[in-house]
Amino acid sequence: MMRPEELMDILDGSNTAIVADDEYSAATFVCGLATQNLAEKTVIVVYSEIKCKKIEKLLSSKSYCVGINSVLGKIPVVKVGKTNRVGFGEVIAYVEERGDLKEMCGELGLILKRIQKSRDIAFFVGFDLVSYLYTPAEIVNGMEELLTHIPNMTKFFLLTRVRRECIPVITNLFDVMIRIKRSRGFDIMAYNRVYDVFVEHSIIRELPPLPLFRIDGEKIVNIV
Amino acid sequence: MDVKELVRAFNGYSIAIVSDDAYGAVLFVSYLTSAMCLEREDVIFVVYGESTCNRLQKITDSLRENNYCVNEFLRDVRVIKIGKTPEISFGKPVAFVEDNGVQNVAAEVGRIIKNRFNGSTVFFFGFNVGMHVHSTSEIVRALEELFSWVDSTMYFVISSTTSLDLIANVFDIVVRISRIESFGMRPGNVYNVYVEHSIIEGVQQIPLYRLDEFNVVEF
Repeated sequence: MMRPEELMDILDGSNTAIVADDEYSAATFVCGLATQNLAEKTVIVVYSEIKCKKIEKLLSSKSYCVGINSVLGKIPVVKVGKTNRVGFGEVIAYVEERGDLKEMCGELGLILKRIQKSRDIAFFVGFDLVSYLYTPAEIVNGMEELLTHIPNMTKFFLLTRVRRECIPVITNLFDVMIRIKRSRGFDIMAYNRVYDVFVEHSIIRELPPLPLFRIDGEKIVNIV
Repeated sequence: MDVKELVRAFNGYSIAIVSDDAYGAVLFVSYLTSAMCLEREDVIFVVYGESTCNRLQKITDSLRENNYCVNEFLRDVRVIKIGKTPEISFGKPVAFVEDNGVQNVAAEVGRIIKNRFNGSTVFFFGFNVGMHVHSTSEIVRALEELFSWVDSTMYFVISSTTSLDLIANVFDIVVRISRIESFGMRPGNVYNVYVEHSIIEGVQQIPLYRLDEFNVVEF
């Protein structure tokens, strides 16, 4: 099994979309990757009130993540939304949602550029909601604007249940797409916290499309 | 998990009740509210639209006629009405919000809940009518506005014709109420109830109940 640190090394400097069936599995995966060293270099960018509250509730309900809650408490957070309220981390900047994605991405890019020297890994959470609020063209223009300011920063976008029309946009914009998929269809009698993690699309030679891990409950295990 | 335990497990979260028909949804809501009533929880209904108001009244009346699980609670429940007129034919009206744009409505309802009913469990009806009147982005913006005000437990009754991707994106928990064909001797609507999506560790994606007008049976 590829170790999480190896995966992080390969993804250094790239734009990665982690596309999950739900936020629960995405959080389990990120908790599995998280190390003290990683936390010291990370900034979290969170979009929307809906997602902010969801993430807060998810983290407080997830016993597996309790260990990293102390680390999370110190991670700088940039909030994009209607209010500057965030239930986790330390809010260092706030970008008001004014209905113009390109302008918002420009403002966000400038903030991230300022802190890039000390924090060169950014996790973007809640941006899946953007796919329901803006057109694919607006999303592409917004990403272009963001990338202008921080081309070399390592970026992870945690996306769940993106609007179907926007899925081709992900393939076209991101270097790597990691998929976290429920390992079987919904069976009414089945226990359902088992997910397969695999690389679905990649432009990095060292990381071709391949199965990576399995999430079984709270653990990341080898796929056999 | 009995209904009382379920209500406790859902406390503090936003829940979508996604149903094949309004009858099944109201039936399930009546079981939930009965349990909440026993627990002395404050409950408030927010009803969007004249048609939703009329249909809700007809369903609760027909359930009440049969004198099954619907108790006086549904007659006395506090209601915030959103629409063209303040009239409602069930419950006790506590506020009226004129429909002057979904964004304004969401902000106004959010303010009312935060200032007057903070901590109450809120049930929202009429989401589907809103989906026909407004675009998806308008609805999401309105929910964003509402969520910026309200921290209480929120239940949204939603039709199964709405995209699950959108629903699962917004809500913490999705409960599916799926109608099944019943070829037994007893006529009537029978439903399977299960948790289809959950971001909460203590609430897993499991089958919950088989539901009809007479009782609720755990799987």
